Amino acid sequence: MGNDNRVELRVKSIGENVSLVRMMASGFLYPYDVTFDVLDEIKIALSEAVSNCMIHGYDNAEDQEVVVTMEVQNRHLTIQVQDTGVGIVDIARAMEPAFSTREEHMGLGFVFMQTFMDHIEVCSEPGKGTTVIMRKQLPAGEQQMSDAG
Amino acid sequence: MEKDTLTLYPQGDLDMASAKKVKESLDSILCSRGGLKQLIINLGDVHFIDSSGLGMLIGCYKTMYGRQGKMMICDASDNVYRVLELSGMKKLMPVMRQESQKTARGESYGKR
Repeated sequence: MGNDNRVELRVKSIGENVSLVRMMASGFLYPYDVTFDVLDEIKIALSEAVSNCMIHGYDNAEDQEVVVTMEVQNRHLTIQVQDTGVGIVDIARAMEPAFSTREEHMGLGFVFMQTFMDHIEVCSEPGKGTTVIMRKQLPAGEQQMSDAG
Repeated sequence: MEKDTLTLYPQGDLDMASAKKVKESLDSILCSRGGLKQLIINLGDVHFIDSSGLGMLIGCYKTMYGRQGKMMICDASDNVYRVLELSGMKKLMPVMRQESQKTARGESYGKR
């Protein structure tokens, strides 16, 4: 069933660490008996949030740090992804589908975060950084359902 | 006819780090194959894709479109197909999913 748990990971802002963070999520969620579909949704949202920090927050600079915190309380997952980069001037505009400041990007990062998580909150201050908080209720696992009869 | 068509088989995850590497290889291939008319990307061995991977695919599409060529995606697993569908990729090019899944998606991942 999985007890309540919390983990924090601080990673250097290099692209290879995006997959490392996803692996951490897989390991962290293993005790909670989630389906592959739910796990994929969380991994996509997390991947987008961490990539945003590196690409936009730090403008691809590789000597910075991204802090990822994952917490489960009563099967309620909270993920916080934080950078100390350039920040977002207009959060509402940044969250619009297909909006991107870069031509080679599709502007789908926040769309995926919103689609695959239950709730997303973005706090940002230009010049100081951005924190994204995402929440998702983990569906009851098969074991829990059979325990309930 | 065969020389007009190229099928590529990327492997693993298509995210920020890997998409950049795949794009560099693809750009080099596309540059050396000026007569290429059809590009097929087989995603059968891609297990994860995010918007960085999608951006790479769109970059390929733009290159092929620019030379009046065509592009299609095939063999996408259910989870990859769902992301491609959500992104609107199907409006730009044919996208086909894997006929049989290697993993049952509704199955439990975690500890029993």
